Amino acid sequence: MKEDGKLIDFLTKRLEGNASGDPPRLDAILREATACARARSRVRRLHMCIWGGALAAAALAVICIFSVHVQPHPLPSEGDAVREVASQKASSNDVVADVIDILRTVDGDDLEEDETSEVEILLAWQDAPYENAVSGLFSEN
Amino acid sequence: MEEDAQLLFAYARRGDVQSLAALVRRHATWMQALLRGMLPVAADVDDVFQETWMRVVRAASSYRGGRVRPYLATVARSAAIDHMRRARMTVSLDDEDGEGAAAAASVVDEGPYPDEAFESRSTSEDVRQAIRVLPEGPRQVLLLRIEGDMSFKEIAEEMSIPLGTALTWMRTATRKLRDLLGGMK
Repeated sequence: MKEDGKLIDFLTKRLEGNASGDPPRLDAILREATACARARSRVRRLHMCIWGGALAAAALAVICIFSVHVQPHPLPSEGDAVREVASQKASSNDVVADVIDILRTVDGDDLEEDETSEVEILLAWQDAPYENAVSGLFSEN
Repeated sequence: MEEDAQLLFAYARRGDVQSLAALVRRHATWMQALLRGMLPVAADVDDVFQETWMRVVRAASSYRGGRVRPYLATVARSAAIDHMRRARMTVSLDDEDGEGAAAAASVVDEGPYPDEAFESRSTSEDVRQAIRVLPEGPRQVLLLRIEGDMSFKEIAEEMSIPLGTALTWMRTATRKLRDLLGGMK
C-alpha cells in the first residue's frame, strides 16, 4: 500500500511535472464563458419580469375580489339591532294575526275560542319566523 | 486563495469570467494529464480540453456544490469518451488510404516496445506511454484516482462498476505499471 502511494506520487509528478504557460484555448473558453454568462443574465431578467408580472396580477386580483365582495357597511348600533328585532317581530305578528283572521272567517263564521288555540299550536310548529311570532303571541298571553 | 467551488459559483451566479479563468488555470495541468492518458491521439488533447471547459461553462448554473476536481474529472472523461466515439464513427482505422491511414499512423506507436522504452524510467513521456498501454478499465480508474482525485466510490459510480471492481482495476494498474516501469521504487 505504501509502495502504491509512492508509485502514485511518482506518476503524478511525472504526468503534471512539465506544465508551462497558459492553458490551451483559454481565449476561446473565456469567450464562450462570457457569451454564456450574458445569456444566463438575460434569462434571469426575463424570469424576474415574468414573476414580477404574475405577482402584480395576483395582487390586483386579490384587491378586486375584496372590493367586490366586501361592501362598505356601517356596523349597527345596539339600539338599531333592538329596533330591527322589534320590527321583525311586529311584521311576523301581523302575518300570524292575518292567518288567524282568515281561519276565523272560514265560510264567514267565527271560529270557536278553543279552535283558535289549536291554530296557534299548529303555527308554533312552523319555521323560525313563525316560531318567533308564536312565542311572541304566547308571551303576550 | 479562493476555494474552487467559490470560483465556480462566482462565475455561475455573477458571471465573473475572471473567476472562471482562475479556475481553468488552476486545473489545467492535471486535466491535460488526464486527457493525455485517456485519448489515443495526443493531438486531440487540446480539443477535448476546450470541449470539457465549454461543457462546464454551459452547465455552470446546474452546479450544486461539492468537490470541484472530481466534478471536472467526470466532465473531462465524458468529453473524452464522446470524442473517441465520434472519431470512431467518422474514421475507420482499417482504411488503408486517406484519413483512416493517417489516423492509424498517429495512433500506432512506432517507438520501441514498452519494456525497452521504460529502461530509462525517468521521463514523463515514458510514464505516459506506460499508462497508455494499460487495459481500458484499469487505465481509467488509475487516471481518475491520481488526476481526478476521486474516491474509489466516486469512480465506481462514475464508471457504473462495482466498488470491488474499481479496487481490483486499480491494483491491476499499479502492478502493471510497476512491472512496466522496472525497478522504480
